[in-house]
Amino acid sequence: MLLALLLVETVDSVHPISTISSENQRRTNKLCLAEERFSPCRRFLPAGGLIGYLTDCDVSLLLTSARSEEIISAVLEPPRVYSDHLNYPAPSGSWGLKYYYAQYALCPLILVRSVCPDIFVGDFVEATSSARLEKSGLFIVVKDFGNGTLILRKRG
Amino acid sequence: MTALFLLLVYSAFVGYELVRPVKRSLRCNSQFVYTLLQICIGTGIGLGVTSCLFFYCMSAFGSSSSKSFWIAVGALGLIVVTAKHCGRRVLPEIEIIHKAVNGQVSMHISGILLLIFSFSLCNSTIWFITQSMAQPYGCLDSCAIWNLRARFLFRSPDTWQVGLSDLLVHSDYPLLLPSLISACWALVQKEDILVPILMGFIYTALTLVLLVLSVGLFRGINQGLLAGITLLSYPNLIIFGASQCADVPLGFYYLSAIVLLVLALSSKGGHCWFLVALSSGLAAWTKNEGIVFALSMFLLLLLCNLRIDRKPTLITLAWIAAGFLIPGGALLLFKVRLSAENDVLSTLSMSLLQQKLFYWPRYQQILCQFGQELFKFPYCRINPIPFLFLYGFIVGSSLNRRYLRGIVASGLAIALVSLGYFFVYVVTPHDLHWHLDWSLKRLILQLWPSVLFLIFIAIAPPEQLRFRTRFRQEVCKSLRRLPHLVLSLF
Repeated sequence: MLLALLLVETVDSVHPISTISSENQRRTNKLCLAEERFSPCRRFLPAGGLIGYLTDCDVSLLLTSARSEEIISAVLEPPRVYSDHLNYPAPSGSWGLKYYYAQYALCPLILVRSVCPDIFVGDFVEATSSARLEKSGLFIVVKDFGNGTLILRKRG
Repeated sequence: MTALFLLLVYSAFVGYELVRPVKRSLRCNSQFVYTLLQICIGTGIGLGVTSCLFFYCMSAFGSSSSKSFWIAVGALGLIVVTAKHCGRRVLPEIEIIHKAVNGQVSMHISGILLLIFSFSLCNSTIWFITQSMAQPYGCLDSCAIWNLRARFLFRSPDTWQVGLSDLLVHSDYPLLLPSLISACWALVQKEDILVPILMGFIYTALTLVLLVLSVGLFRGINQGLLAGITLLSYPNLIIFGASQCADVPLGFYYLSAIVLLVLALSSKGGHCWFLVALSSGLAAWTKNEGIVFALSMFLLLLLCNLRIDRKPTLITLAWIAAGFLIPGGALLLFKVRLSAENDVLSTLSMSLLQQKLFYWPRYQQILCQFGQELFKFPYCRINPIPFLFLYGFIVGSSLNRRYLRGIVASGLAIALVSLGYFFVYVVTPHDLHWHLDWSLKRLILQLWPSVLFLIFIAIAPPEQLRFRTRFRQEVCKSLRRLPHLVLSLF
């Protein structure tokens, strides 16, 4: 009886293979893509230390707010807010997953969502984000890798 | 690949040499099984001790380069030589008694079981490979925690402590897996993507083999195969094994400690407390949950010795302390000097603790979700737990009194760990539903191999069923009632 059950379970385990594998396939592609996207960046970034991390939603937040650095500090979340990690794994589209992939690809640098560092990595999906950010006068684009990945520097 | 293989062989040899002093004098035909079991436990212990020593060398020399790795390898060799010379004289022998069963019937059942086991094994191996190809960098957890730390250790060998910054998530998690992976990378001088995959595979395979062999040692290989098939039919083992997380290695060290505890308590005058303590310590060096386990085991080891000898001999206590020394020291060094604060403990204040401890709906919610998770049994269409109990009821138990103490002590260890997990949920600062949802299936996975081991050594092996008239009668009776029972279960 137990054998029959175990056989059913074993055969049945073929079912989750298909669902889980395809789900992970999608996720994996993102991680593999992140590795490919960020590998050219590493040559232009410092060997270690803290750098800032910006996504599309940060750009929208920055540009809808006043343009002083104090306000930016308030808009961007401080680097250590544990509630950020509570979104983990974040729903697709939000910054959470992308952040972890970028952090993994750019290790041993530490990516923070803060305005403290001088150098930033932009991880954008929308083509207009970098132009909007540069137009705002807050950041200078140091290098655009053409795949939504940019290196930015704070103006001044 | 060759380097990883060499490291594995070296670790297996070292671990085997550490385990070997617990010499056997078997009055059974399971000598071969016992040797394989020693190799299996030895490999896990060898890998764990290598990781600890690599960490010690990194801390001492301030660098996670290959130099530290070679010093760690040398230190490991020294430990083995010492263990070889001192251990055999000090550690008494273990004696295991296992009744041989009727050869013909056993062979007949073995054939069927072996067939299903081979099918399960092939299926799981293919699945593991598919999963690993689909996610070569592991799951989100591994790239946010385990492999990320390994990358920090490898990519910045002179400033590897940066990887433990509190700006990163779960910086307080111990470093068994990251230091092992980075040690392999340091050995081959490149960041080989295969290393974490193979590490996941090794621990998954070791867990399975250890379960089959240990149950096989106590109850015959048929029972061992049955336990193996049950474990393989639990998809989370492969999912988490291929995801390169630390839950499967943690499950292996739990199982290893439990098996050694039962061995120690069922042996005639022989104890392998050193190895039980070492396995428990390595569990603590794998993941934070392992600390709860190590503390529970420490208490149990003291209790067991108090109970057996009335007053624990100094030498037994010394062996227990020696077992905890290597991984415990690494953990202490890591927690005190390097790691960030734990997210659960750092936010706890006395008033908050009181508030949460006396808020009963939390208990209700945790119990409900525990029950739901056990009822659903993630990724299994049919929950095996009721069937295991039913099978146990039909086959019955022919427990040797020798094993009883070991089973009770191990059951107590698992109960204590579960209780520990339960109270972590009670006091967690995170959203309780999220925390339970995110981690409960992992906790079940960690404990499941040990639970299966206890279940399968407690119940009689399938071949004994034939020789028991009363059990045959019970089976017939139960089979008649089976449709009603199944219907009532669902």
